[in-house]
Order: sequence, then structure tokens, then C-alpha cells
Amino acid sequence: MESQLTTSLVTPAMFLLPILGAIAVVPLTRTSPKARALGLGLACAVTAALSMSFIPGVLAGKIYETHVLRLTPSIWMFMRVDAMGALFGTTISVLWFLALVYSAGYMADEHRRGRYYTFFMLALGWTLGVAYAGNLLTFLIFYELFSILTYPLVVHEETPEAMAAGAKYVIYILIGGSLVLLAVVSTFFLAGDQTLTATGLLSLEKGRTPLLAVFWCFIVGFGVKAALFPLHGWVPDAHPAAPAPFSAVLSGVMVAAGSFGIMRVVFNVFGVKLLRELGVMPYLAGIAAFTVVFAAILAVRQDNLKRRLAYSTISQMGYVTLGVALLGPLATTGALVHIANHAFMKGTLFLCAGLLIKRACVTNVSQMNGTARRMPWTMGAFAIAALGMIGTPPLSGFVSKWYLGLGMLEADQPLYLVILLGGALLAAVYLLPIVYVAYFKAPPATADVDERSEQREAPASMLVPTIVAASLTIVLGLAAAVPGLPVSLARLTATGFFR
Amino acid sequence: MGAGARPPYTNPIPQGLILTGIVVAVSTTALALSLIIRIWKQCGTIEADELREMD
Amino acid sequence: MVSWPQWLSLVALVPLVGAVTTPAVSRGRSRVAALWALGVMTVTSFAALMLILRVAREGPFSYPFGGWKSPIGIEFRFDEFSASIGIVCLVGWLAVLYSQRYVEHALEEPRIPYYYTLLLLNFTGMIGFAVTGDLFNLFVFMEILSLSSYALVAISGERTAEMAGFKYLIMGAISSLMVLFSIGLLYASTGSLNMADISSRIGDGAVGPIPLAMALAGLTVGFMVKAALFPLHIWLPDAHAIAPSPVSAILSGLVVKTGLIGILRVYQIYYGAKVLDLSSLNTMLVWLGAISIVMGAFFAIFQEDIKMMLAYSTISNIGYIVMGFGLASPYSVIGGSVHIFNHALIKATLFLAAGCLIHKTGYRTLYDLRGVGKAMPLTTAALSVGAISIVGIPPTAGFLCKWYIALGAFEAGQPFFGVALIFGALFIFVYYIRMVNSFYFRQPVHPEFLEVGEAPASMLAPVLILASLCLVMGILGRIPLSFIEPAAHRLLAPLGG
Repeated sequence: MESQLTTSLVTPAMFLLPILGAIAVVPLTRTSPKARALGLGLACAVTAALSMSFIPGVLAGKIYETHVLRLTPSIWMFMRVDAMGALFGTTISVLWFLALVYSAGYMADEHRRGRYYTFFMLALGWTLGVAYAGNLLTFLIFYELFSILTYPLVVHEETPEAMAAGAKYVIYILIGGSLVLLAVVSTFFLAGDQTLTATGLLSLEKGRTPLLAVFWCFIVGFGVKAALFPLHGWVPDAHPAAPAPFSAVLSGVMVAAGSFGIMRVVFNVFGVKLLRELGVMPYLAGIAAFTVVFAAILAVRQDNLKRRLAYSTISQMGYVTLGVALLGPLATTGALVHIANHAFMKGTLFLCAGLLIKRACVTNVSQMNGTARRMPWTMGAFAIAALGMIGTPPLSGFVSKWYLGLGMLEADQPLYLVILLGGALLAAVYLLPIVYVAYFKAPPATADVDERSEQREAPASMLVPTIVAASLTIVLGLAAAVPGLPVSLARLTATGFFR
Repeated sequence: MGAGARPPYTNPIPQGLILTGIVVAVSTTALALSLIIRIWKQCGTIEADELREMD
Repeated sequence: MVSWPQWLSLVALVPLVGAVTTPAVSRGRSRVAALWALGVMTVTSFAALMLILRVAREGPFSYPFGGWKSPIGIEFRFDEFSASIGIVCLVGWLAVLYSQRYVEHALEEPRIPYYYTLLLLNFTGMIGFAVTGDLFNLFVFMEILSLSSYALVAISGERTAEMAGFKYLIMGAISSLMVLFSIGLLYASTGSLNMADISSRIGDGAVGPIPLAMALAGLTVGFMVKAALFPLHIWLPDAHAIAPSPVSAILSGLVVKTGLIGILRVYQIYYGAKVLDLSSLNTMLVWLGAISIVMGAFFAIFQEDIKMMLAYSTISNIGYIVMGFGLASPYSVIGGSVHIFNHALIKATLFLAAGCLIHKTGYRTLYDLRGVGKAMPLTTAALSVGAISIVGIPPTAGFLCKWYIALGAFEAGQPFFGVALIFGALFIFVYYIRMVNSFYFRQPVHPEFLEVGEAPASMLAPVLILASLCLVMGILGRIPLSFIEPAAHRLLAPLGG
């Protein structure tokens, strides 16, 4: 299928709209919290709708391109929406919208809400910019911006733990960002400023050594964000420290942005053919497989719920990298679909964790006995997402793992199937006990129950987004074959890369 | 140069340079001395060792 | 009117005349002195704008004084590097505007007119230094600049200020002597003082290598002191931190750049020389630049005083620029030159914003300033923008320099320095993150200043204008680059050709 290029003015609007929203936070806050909620919700909803509006065109083989701005005589800021970008962009904006609605309830009694909303909206804009970046420099700009400007969200609580987690976050992310910058500069030096197309930018003419150096710079740089072992150190600290709605997007799409970066590097910068010649992918696959198992084992040992979920993210993102590293069309499809599916499952889990913190003062797994009796909706959503995460059919987690498994067989690497199933088994070990104690253990004796933990379900503004995210997990599983949903876009992408 | 001048001439440029250099050096010295006097007035000493101890 | 060459003499003469007439015009009234200085700077800026428009359209041009043609008479020559007077005028104008309210507080009333005199003299020196084509003239303007800087550092009359000024004076006087001797040597061996003329005479190969090498060494070391390159930076932190904040902005943003433009001029003179190999000079500059980056950042981490931190950060940034020059590839020279502009904007933002904080709260350490973000949101936002920009987060102004110099390091076949540069920036981030943390995320130590509110508009406006320029100049980087690219290629042409 030939792709047609279309110029679109919608693409710059995608990141400008949230930024305008962020600018409007301060005047809106002065008016009333209601005006702020409405204004930001509208900006976010329009963004989500616009991001979906790309999908029909992209499915028909269109690619939307926009030259945004000339930075210097040799550098353009250039946006380009292809199937992969459209898939990631839609995931981002929908999850962000849910988290924003949730924030209205969750943040109601927190301090510095103006700052929180400003940076929350800014982060949406930058992350969408990453999804729709059309050349490496644009990618780099948005990547660095969203990495650095989410720091105020990580340290939002301003407690010593949050500050420590923030310091760790910033150091990891900056080192990663510097490596990415280095790699982008060297790619620019080797290949010039070029559009990210399906064929790759680099060629073997320049010799193997510089290419290998660039490749590992990219992988380590993005690996920090994608939480590849041993670069995952910031993830388990940052998640418990941050407010729950931000944890949800942090885990759901921002960590995934690192995996997305790795995909861009593998398929758009190097290209499948060149990487096969370089022969580096087996090493990457090994690291990813180790990450899957290692993080899952660590997750089992965590008592803090958000920390456990954070380790689960590390493990699940390992799947994505593993799928990419296998360099097969089916595995790539699986990896891409898993980015989208994982976003909603992990989003649900973190939103539930937030509800438990707010309404039941529960932060640890050991305090969760009987919570389902008081908060049936919350724990119902949690159970669905947990089952999805394990890969139970017909939930969405199953679909992506199915493709990953097929991809492993296609790549003739059945050994990785063991990793895949082992990871799923461990996911069951670290998630199902939570569901079990919530439903089947008696609530703790009244002695250590304070007044707040008597409260029952959260208000609708927090509960509805949680339930919507959970039902997306079901829909994306049951209706996986419907065109326009992740699978169709991912298959289109994979076909392009392996043509 | 007057009509009756005969070689060898003195080159006027180095003279100009030296004069300007002297002017510059004198003004630098003047500024330095005035700073020294102010420091002496405020600290009662211009010994570098003693001044360092006051910091 | 644009091609009127007299602008070239006016651009240096107007601030000179304005400077010496300030005390007479104001007769002790500080407000009149401020307005007079502002007016003088406005005229100067207009002249500078005309010159920049012309150089953008027609390329370099010169103005011979008294009609004497170039090797004999003194000439002003305006090339693309001279366009740096644009930034001098911009930052200078804003600093003068800012000074009006700042010095009310910081200086004794009778000194204020002289403060403006010194400020205008300082601008005269910088502008003259950038536009002159004559080597000795260069020295004279450098001395005008240096003498006024020493006095400005010491102007508050406090003991520490006078000590810092004296230290600066001693270092500066030694470097001036080295420059003067080198100019004498060049004159003795080439018989000319015009820079273009010297360059062509050196290029002919008629001059032996030894006097040339000595002059080169003297000029480079002399300008390195002015530019505060490691290990000749020891005068800088005290002088820049103790001076009144608008003066710090000018010293850090502009005056040290004069040393760098001096180094560029040295390159312009020497690149044609066949008897000298400049590669060892380049190697030295690259290493000193790299060490400056790391040492500046390293010392900055341990500073509690906010202005001291900014002063050390200047040393790092000078390191970037010098490294760019030393790598001597087109991209790196472009990166270094563009950072002369951008760092001036960024550092002026930071110092002026820090000045606002000090002016309103009276505190200057990070510990005391905790929580100030709530009291002065606009000022601290400007400081954060400056911090993000100086660290080089794309697409702010500081990013261009990192991008081009790193690219230049690859181009020059020395990728190690690209790596050093990018990871040096990490160090720098550490202390800016400390600053941002203490402004926004830590509990205030002195809750009483939460009531103070923002600085007056004439101080806040320059800060905000500069902060928005920090953001905009990254996005509109093509504007300075359109000047610098041709100049850099012309500078390096003798090497490649």
C-alpha cells in the first residue's frame, strides 16, 4: 500500500492546545475551581477527539505532515503522524483525559493545585509531541521537555520522600536525556536532518563501530525512561511519591514513551535490515527478558501497593522491548498493542490505588483485607485490570501477549515463550493475592480503623474514570479486531516496517 | 611634516602608542591607589595577610 | 539612512560623550542621570540597529577616520562579529532601566550619577572594542572597559566590594600589559596596526615565527584573563557576585565576552599565517574549555550564595564557548559564537532576577530564599526559565550552543569533547535544580518575606523581557545564525582552503 502525504494543521494544535490549557490555569483558578475543571476538561477532551480524528485517515494509508518551525538554517521542527504515532497519541490523550477528570476529585484537598494542573497539561502537550514527532530533533525537544517539566509533578507532595524520589528521577532522566542527545547529535552528523520514515536513516557505509555506539547510546538513553534493567532505579521511588493520577499517566504512557523511543530508533532510525546486519538485537532481547522476570520477582516482595505496581510496570515494559528486539512483524504488533493495552490496565490499577489511599487510607497490600466490601466498584475495576495484566482471555492483556507469543514462534525463539509465560505467572503471583485478600479476607478489627477508613466508595468524579479505564481493558480485548483499535494500527505499522 | 624636514625621521606612531600607554597606566594606577586608600580607611591595614584574615 | 557610515563612529562616540556629560547634566539628581543614560543608550541602540541592518544586507564594511585610508589611518570596521554590539545595547539598555530603582537602595545618593557615567563608559569600551579595526584602538577601548569595570565592582564602597575590585584590577592590569606588549611586538615585526593589514602581512610569510608566536601567546593569555578562562578565572567569582546586580549582569553577560571576541580577533589575524601552526593553540583552548566547564560547575555546586553560583556558572559557559572556538570546525565556531549572544541573554536574566530577589527580600543564600516562589512568582519563573535555558533544554536559547558544539566536536573528529560537553551540562543542572527546589519545593525559613510581593515594574519588565527572549531565541535561532554562519565560514576558510 502506497502512503500518501497530507499536510495537516491539526498536528501542531495537538500540543498547542494542552499548552494553552496550561497557560489558562492561573486565570481560571482565579475565577473558580469549577471553571478550571471545565476549561481543562474541554481542552483535554478536544485534544483526545483530535487525536482520534487521525485514525481513519491513517488506516487509509495517509500520513499527515507539518513543518512547524525552522529553528536554525539546518534544523526543522517537523510533525508527522503515522500509524504508530496515531496509536500512541490516542492512547496518551485518552488516558490523560481520564486522569484529568480523576484529578478533579483526587486533588480537591491537596495543596498547590494550580501548579499541579499547569504542569499536568504541559506534560500532555509535550508527550503528544513525542508521539507525533517527525524527525529526531523534534522528538528530542519534546522528549527532554516532558522529562524535565514533569519534575514538579513527581515532587508535588514536597515531603522528604518525594524530594528524594524527585532527585533520583531527575538524575536518572537527565543522564538518559544526555545520552539521547548525544545519540541524536551523532545521528545528525552521520545522516543529516531527515524524516523518520519506515526504512531507516543510517547505513553501513560509515562503518560498524559508530553505528554500534549510536545504537547503544540510544538504547541506554531511552532505556532509562523505559525502565530497562539496570536503569530502572527511579521507577519504584517516583511512583509512590507522586499523586495517583500522575502515577497513572507516568506508568501508563510516560514510561512507555521510552519504549516508543526505542521503537522509533529500531525501526525508523536504523531500520530492520541494518539491525539484522549489525546483530545487536539478541543482546537487547536478553536484557529485556531479564527485566521482565527480575522486576516481576521484585514486585512480589513489595508491600507498598504503588511500589508493587511500579515494579509491574518495569516488567511489562520489558515485554514491549522484548517484542521489538525479536524483529518480527507479529512481535512488533504485539509490542505496540501492549503499549496501548498496558496504558489502560496500569492506569486503572493506579487510579484504584489512589482511591484506596484517599478513601480507605490504604497504602500497603497488607492493609487491604476486606476492602472490596467497602469499595466494591473500586476493587471490581482493580480485579479486571489485574486479570488483564496477567493475560486472561478475553481481556486486552491477552491480545497483546498472544501476538507477542506468536511473534516469538515466528522468530523461532520458543525459549522466550517461557519468559512470556513466566512473567504472566509472576504477574498472577503479585496481583491476584491483592484481589484475594480484598474480597475474601475479613476487614481488620475496629480497633485500628480510624474515622476516615469508614468511608465507602469515592465520589463519581473519581470512580467513573477508573471504571471507564477498566472497561476499556475489556473492550480492547473483546473488540480487538475492530478497525481503528490498537491491533489494526499496530498491524499496519508492522507491515510498513517489514515490507 | 614640514617642508624642510629631512631623513631620518622619528616614527610618530610608537611615540603615540607609548604616550597612550602611559596615560592608561597612570589612570589604572590612580584607580588602584584610590582603592588601596579606601581599603586602608575601612580596614586599617593594607597587608594582604591581615586582610585575608578579616574575611 | 541605513548605509550612512557615520553611524559607525557615532555608535562609540555617543555613549562616550554621554558618559562624561552625565554628572554635568544631572548635577547630583539621580533620576535625571538615569533618564539621561537611558536616552543615550536609546540613541546608541538605534545606531547599532542601523549598522546591524547594513551588515546583514551588505556584509562587512569600514569607516576610515579623517578620510585616511586603512593601513595609515585609524578605521572602524564592522563585521558580523561586531554585530555583538546589538546584544550589548539590548542588555545595556535593560540594565540601565533596571538600575534606576535598584541603585536607590544599593548605593549612596551622591554616587549615583557617577555610577551611570561608569556604566556608559563601560558600554563605550565594549562597543568600541567590537567595532574597531585597529589593534591599538582595540587596546584603548579594552582599557576604557576594564577601568570602568573595576570601578563598578567597587562602587558600593563596602569593604568586600573594594577588595574584589582590587583583585580584579590587579589581574586585569597584568593582562592588559600582556596585550599591550603583544601589540607592540606585532607592530615592530609587521609595521602595521590595522588588523586586516597585519593579517595579510603575516599571510605573506615575510615575518619570522618567533615574534609572531610570542605575540600570539601574549594576546591569548591576556584575553583569557579578561574572559576568565580556567585557570585565570580567580578574579571572577568575587567581582561578579559582589557587584550590584545590574553590574553583575553586564559583567557576566557582556564584559567577559569581550575577552572572547578578542580571542576571535586573534584568530582572524592569525588564521592566514603559514609560518605558525595554530593546532596546538586549538588543543590548548579545547582542553582549557573542557576543564572550565567542569571546574565552574563543580565549584558552583558548593555555593550557597545565589550570585556566587551564577558567577561560577559563567566560568562554565565561557568554557563552552572557548571549547567551540578551539575545536575549530564550522559547526563548533558557530555554536561558540551564538552562545556569546545567548549566554548574554540568559545570564543577564539570571542576575537581574536574582537582583530582584535580593532587592525585595534582602537575602541572598539559597537557604534564606526558600519558598520565595510563592512571594515573587514572576521573578522566580524568570529565574527558572533562565536555569532551563542555561542547562540547554531544547528548544531554549542555551540548546543551540550545545547542539552546534557537540556537532562540531564530531565534525572535528574529536567526539570525546562532545561527550564531555553534554555531560558537563549535567553537572550544571545539579545546582540549578537545587535553586529551583529551594524556591518552590522547600518550606520557607523566613516566612515574613512572603508578604513582600514583586519588584517594581521598571525592574520586573527587563527581567521578563530577557526571560522571554531566552525562550524565543532558541526557537528563532536562525536570526543570530544568519549573521554568524557566513562569518564562521569566512574565519575558517584559510584552514580548509
